[in-house]
Amino acid sequence: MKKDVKKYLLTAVAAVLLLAFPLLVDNLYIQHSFFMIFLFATIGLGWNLIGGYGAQLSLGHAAFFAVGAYTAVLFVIYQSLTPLIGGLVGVVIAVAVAGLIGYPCFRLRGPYFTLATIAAGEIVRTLLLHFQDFTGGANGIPLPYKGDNFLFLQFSSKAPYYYLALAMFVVVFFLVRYLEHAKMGRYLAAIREDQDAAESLGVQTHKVKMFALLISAAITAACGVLYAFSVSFIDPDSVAGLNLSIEIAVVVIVGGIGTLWGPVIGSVVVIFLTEMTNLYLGDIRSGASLVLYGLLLILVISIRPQGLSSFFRRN
Amino acid sequence: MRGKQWKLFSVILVLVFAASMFAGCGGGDKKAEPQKVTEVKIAFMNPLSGSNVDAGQQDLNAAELAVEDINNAGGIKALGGAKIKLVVVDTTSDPKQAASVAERTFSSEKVAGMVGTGISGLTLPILPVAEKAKVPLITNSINDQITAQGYKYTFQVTPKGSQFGGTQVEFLKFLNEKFKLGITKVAVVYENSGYGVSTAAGVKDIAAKAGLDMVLYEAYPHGFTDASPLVTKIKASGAQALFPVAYTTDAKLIINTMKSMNVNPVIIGGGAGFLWPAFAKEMGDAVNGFVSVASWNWDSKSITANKDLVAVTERYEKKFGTFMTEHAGPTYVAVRLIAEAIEKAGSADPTKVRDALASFNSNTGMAAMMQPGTTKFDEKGWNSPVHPVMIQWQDGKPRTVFPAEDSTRAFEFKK
Repeated sequence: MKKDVKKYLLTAVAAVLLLAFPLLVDNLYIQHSFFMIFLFATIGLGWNLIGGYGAQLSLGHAAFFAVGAYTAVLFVIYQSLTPLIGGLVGVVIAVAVAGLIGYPCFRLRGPYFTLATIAAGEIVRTLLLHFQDFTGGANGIPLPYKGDNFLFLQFSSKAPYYYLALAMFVVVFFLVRYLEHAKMGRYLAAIREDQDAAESLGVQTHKVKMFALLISAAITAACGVLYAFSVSFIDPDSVAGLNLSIEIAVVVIVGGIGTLWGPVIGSVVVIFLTEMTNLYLGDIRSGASLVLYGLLLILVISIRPQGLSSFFRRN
Repeated sequence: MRGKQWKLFSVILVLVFAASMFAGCGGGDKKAEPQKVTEVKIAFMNPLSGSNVDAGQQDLNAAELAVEDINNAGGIKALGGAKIKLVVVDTTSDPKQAASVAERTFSSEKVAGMVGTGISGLTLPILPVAEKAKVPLITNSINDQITAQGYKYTFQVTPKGSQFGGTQVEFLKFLNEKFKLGITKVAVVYENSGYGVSTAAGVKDIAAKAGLDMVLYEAYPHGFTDASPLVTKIKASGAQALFPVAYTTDAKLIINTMKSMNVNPVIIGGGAGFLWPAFAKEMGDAVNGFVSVASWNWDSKSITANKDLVAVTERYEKKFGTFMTEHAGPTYVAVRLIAEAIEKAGSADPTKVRDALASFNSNTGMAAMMQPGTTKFDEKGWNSPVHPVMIQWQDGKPRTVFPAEDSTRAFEFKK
């Protein structure tokens, strides 16, 4: 009983702090950084469903991010349709794309699956480049500036983006927490430990993995929509590039693969490292910031291969 | 349960810690501005790491030279000789990071204006950030979309990507007339990037209007290692003139492959790779004779006619060991224009600097450094008088050879 009270109290304090944050800290950059932290934590949570719990390492998640971002933005450009609807369409299309990718790829295991996801991601990027009359190609698409406009997710302040990202994070966090302990989580864990054994026990591995991928894709696509409107500019390299796919995986791997808190901790650490190395070493000409960023990541991975969240595990 | 509490607690701790770290190095400049201004900050944002570092370095050289020149000449006189200080910021070559870096700079530093970036894909995500922060920026990137968004704080000093094709096609007409080449079939090969796509699209539209037959329009990936399929296509198309849009290493690969396969159309380069010092280094003496379009060149007539401007290009060459590049020139101008706008506004307040830029119209001083010698921004923030030029490599340097009003040397025809 006492423990529960303490737990709720802590949660309440955290909630109040997070909600009041933009009021307490009016520095736009810090708000933006926290926006990025929540965004990547959310994508990481989504990625973790298939990449962590199911141990099917995907390096093609940028494809879903891009489909969400591009669909919503193209609807605004061509139809002046609000991203609140366009984004939903984007999520649906991303889920369909995930089905298309998952169907053949889940026949492969281990590194072969990973290679297939890289290829799938590259296909999406190449298509975006190819149909340049429609997508803007390598030029990218800037969103027309409309001033404050909720329907078009354009705000002159950062706070609304912060709250949107926070809301998305909270929803996804509790969804994943639920799934972790639901049947699906158990199935995924069985697949992670030994896929053949799981199958022999009657787990429909193909179906379970597919379900996890579809949810994962939906979450990633929704994050893509939010990203596109907060930055107001997308191009194939930044939203569909292999770099983004890797960054998503790195966030989770650093934080702790297959754990609920892993993506959260990973996102805080990775975004923080990116920003700090850029701030302190960015004006050194040789790109020292990226070197240090890389070194720190190597350090983290070699000291704690299970991820940083394992520091808090009690067994 | 206890484990969870600890996790939650630690995450909150880390978040608070992160916030204080961000704050420590970010904010704190909230104090009221002192009456006497001794220093005015201008932000410089360009890629100093990642794949676009070459361009960023040229931009940085030029910006530092401009600040040095302004300060040596007594700083901002309207503000009692206040010195300019450059706030150098690395956007990296990642658009996502560029937006974040801009956010940081504008919320932590009180800058009067910003210059950069030289890469369209990095400039575009910064525009909305600058608009919201009400900081005027002058960019030297060329994408048409930059000044098509209705931003009030965006100024583009360079020609637009879509103009390059026009200049190249005009130049081809000039060749046809002067040397009776009878070229009707043309090919475009371009790098699949923002710069490549917009430049190539410009050529395509205008070539069609000029009655040229576009026999090949082909993209290739940046950094490709085998150009022979591409060159085979060029050969099969029967193109008499080729418009390649490429960075240095790709340009060299295409040219060498063409040589070895004995494919010899007239080559009219699309900027970037055909203009940078690295191209001369890669090609050696064989560089002489190549022609390319350029958004700016160090020896256009408006510069050589003015000894102050010649002195700038000489100082650059002395300090950095190469001629002043297409990236460097407009960046130098951008820094000087912001300084002039501060002078005119008599204030380092970014909104006043913005107003001064919006009404800027001059053909003297540094404003004469952009072809054709006049700089003024239209209602969209674009430097409307500006146009590209054609250069030809002669004696190891790019020289302006076309159009006649800007050229300082005659085009030398080699076949």
